[in-house]
Amino acid sequence: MSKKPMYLKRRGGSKVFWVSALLALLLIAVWCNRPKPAVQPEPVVEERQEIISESVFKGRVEEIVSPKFGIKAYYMFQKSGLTSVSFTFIQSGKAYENPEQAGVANIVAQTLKEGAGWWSAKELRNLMGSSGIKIGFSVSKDDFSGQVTFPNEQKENAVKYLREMLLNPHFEDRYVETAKAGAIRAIETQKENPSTELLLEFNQAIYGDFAYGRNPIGDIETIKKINRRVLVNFVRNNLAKNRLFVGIVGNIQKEAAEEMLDNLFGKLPILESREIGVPYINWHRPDVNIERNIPQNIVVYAAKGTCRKCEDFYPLYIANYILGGAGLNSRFNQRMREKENLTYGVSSWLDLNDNANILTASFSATGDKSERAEKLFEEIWQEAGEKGFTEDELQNAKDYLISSHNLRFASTSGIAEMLAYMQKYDLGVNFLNQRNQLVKDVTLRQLNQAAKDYFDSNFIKGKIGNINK
Amino acid sequence: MNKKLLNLYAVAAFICSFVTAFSADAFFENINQFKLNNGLQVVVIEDHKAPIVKQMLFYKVGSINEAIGKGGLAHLLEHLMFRGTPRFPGQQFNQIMESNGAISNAFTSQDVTAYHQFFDVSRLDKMMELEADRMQNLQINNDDFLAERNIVFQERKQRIDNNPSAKFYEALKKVLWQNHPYNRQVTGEDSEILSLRLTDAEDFYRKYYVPDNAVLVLSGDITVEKAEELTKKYFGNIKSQNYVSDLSLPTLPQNYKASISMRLPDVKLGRMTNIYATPSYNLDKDKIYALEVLAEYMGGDKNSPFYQKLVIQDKKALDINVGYNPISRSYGVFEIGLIPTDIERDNLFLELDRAWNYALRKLDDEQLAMTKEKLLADLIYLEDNPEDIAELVGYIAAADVDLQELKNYEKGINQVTLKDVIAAVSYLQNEAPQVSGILYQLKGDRNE
Repeated sequence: MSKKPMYLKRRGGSKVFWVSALLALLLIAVWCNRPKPAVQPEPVVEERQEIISESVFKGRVEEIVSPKFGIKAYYMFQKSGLTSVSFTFIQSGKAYENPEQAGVANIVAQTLKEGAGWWSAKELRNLMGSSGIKIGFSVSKDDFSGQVTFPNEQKENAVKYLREMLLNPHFEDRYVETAKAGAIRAIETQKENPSTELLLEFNQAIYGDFAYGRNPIGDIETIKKINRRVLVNFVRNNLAKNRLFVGIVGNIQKEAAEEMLDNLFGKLPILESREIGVPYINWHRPDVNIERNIPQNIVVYAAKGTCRKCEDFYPLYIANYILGGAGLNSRFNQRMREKENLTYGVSSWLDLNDNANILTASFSATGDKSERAEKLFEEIWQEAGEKGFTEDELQNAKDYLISSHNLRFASTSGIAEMLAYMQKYDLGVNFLNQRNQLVKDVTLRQLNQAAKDYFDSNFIKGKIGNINK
Repeated sequence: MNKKLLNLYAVAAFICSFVTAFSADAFFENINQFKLNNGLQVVVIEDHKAPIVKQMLFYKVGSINEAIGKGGLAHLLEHLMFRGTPRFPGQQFNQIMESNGAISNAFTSQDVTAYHQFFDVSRLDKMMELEADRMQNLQINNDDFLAERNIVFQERKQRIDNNPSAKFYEALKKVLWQNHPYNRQVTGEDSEILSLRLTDAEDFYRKYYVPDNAVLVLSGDITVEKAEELTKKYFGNIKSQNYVSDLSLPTLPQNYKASISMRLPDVKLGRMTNIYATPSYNLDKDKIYALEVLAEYMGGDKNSPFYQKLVIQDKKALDINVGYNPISRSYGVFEIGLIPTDIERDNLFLELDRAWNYALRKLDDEQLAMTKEKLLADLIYLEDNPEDIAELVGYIAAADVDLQELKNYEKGINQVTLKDVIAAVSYLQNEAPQVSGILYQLKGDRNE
């Protein structure tokens, strides 16, 4: 229950108190006033040898291939009590849903654990709960993802449970109905949170009829019609071997990891690739303004971004870091928060999607300060585009990005996710070793070219609060 | 800086725990502590999987220490701690963090104020130097003070006032805690924040930010020897202030039962919440294990009969939430929450009681054993992430709870009997000070 401020975090009817969680996800997406980049499109940064040569992370990534079905994965051995497998099915997220079944991917992610193979939902919960096996699923605009983490000696059981969930899920009716009721209520109550209300309208303004503009929870009428058959079909028509990227990390030998791939994913079907096209975005459309009498206005911006494999990815990534990704040290925070105390925090980030890449920013400010904050934000934005950045700023950004590299290796499950990500974006098995050079290689000229190309007057603005004051 | 509103339970989830193959004892052997001559308690958690370290400095001061009318002071001082010392003036602290790739932040809770950095082990010296420097040399000018006061005012608006759930919680706390300082919001009230003065912050800093009122946690790729060497070098010369806590906390009246009903215009999703003031490690540590087991039994997962009755069978709630936090300087807290299906139709107090009693009737030896097993099965996750374990251990140590309690946890859970759980239930129902609250939507034509 993410909204509970103090005591309750851990127990809910579902471990994820998901009605709130869905709201929270929306909230997080639009309103990340955290002092660090809200979205980290960079999973890793390589070590900067001259500074931290004594502390190089020793993990080595290898590509492995399963013996029977030829399933590929990235793998890293780690001496740990836990093993983690992270997997992503591309072209299987919310944007790929049949509009007649909007919301189905969410319901599948919520209920895929509710009975599978020989086991009822209740049995599975007891079996996993008493042995420390954790299985979870999630869904984004583009992907359907999951992760299993388990104490090493529970490997056989963990594999069995997950395989049956992917191949023979029961979707027990009572849990499906509860999940549907929760999703419907979540939609009905989305507007309780002003940032969610803003996000919904803002997304629609950006994407129009394109699938990214849909309500991320779905549609009440279509959710009502979802039944077990629809859920099973979603699994069969989406979770395919050839859409799959897998990362495996832990105390497991390479051969065992390869075998595990066959056991887990070998029987999944092979399906055709799907395209949903790209949205047309009118960057000159009018602002989105929602009048609400709330204590603090919330303001969001969106502008064109770049793709993960595009040539200007690193220059723009660093440019955004300096402008709004560097926490309190960012230009936005320095001038809006530190100098003029207009807001508690402002941040910007690159929102990477398979079919549209966006630069996003947001902040909150009370009515008396909002207008000044907006004006200043836009000034800083355009000034960055016109005048660019300094050599010092570039160097500071590189220092941070390089020397924070090892922090990505804090947990086994976190590394497994990173390995899946590296494959999805085709970064290569040696990415961890090459990445720092890519950061180092960015020149001031490239940086300022990216600033010029992206921080211009082409942006869409959204605001909720006391618009006319 | 950001106050992460006591995200304790994300961490306390890890206190759960045990799997036969995982050696808890071996893991706890990696946790060691020592004290410097000036009273600074240092806890070292070794984890050499990656060359990274989490440093957390907990001061045993939070909103609980604020004088009446000075609400928000502990939190405001937390912000001011980033405003410089003679040696690292202005914003150098944050700049040095950035150029060293450190993720740095801080948070304030009722009980503690903590400063933390997560960084490559090669930066350990620098990080410790900076943290030690601002323990004794903070220098706040009035401009910075006023700027931060504005920022925390904006923060309160963002966190509390734009959020009906948070406002509901604030009201529940006031009613439950009465004259106990846990009745305060960590952010303070609007008028309190705006009336704070620079001297308030300076006095607070001088009094509480002393080595003998602090715990330093170092978690990750570090040995005890290295920690001793560096802490002596950087913190060793800070003078002890012979700090003695003058905190005197009231005892809440037993059998205190209050309820509130709140209507707010922005609420679309109703809530119902019961909060109980309970034993904690500090107040009565023998009683906490039965409450832990009870919380897990009632709300651990969807198999809980409480969930099954309320959500699946009777469809009176969309979801439920049961939690218990025994790590605190004063009372612990037990909480039951639900998101009602139809808040205007159902008598939720009645429905909750029914489901609770139904669940209790289902509790037998087999259920008890399964509950304990689940509760203990997650201990292995303690070793997964140096950040999480640092936070958990820091909270425990800063509450003046012996770290030995971590080791006792498994035994404590295993010893819980059915009778203990029933006694815990009876305690909650009959003796624990408690508040029940319902949050409704304020509709234009309603008058309630």
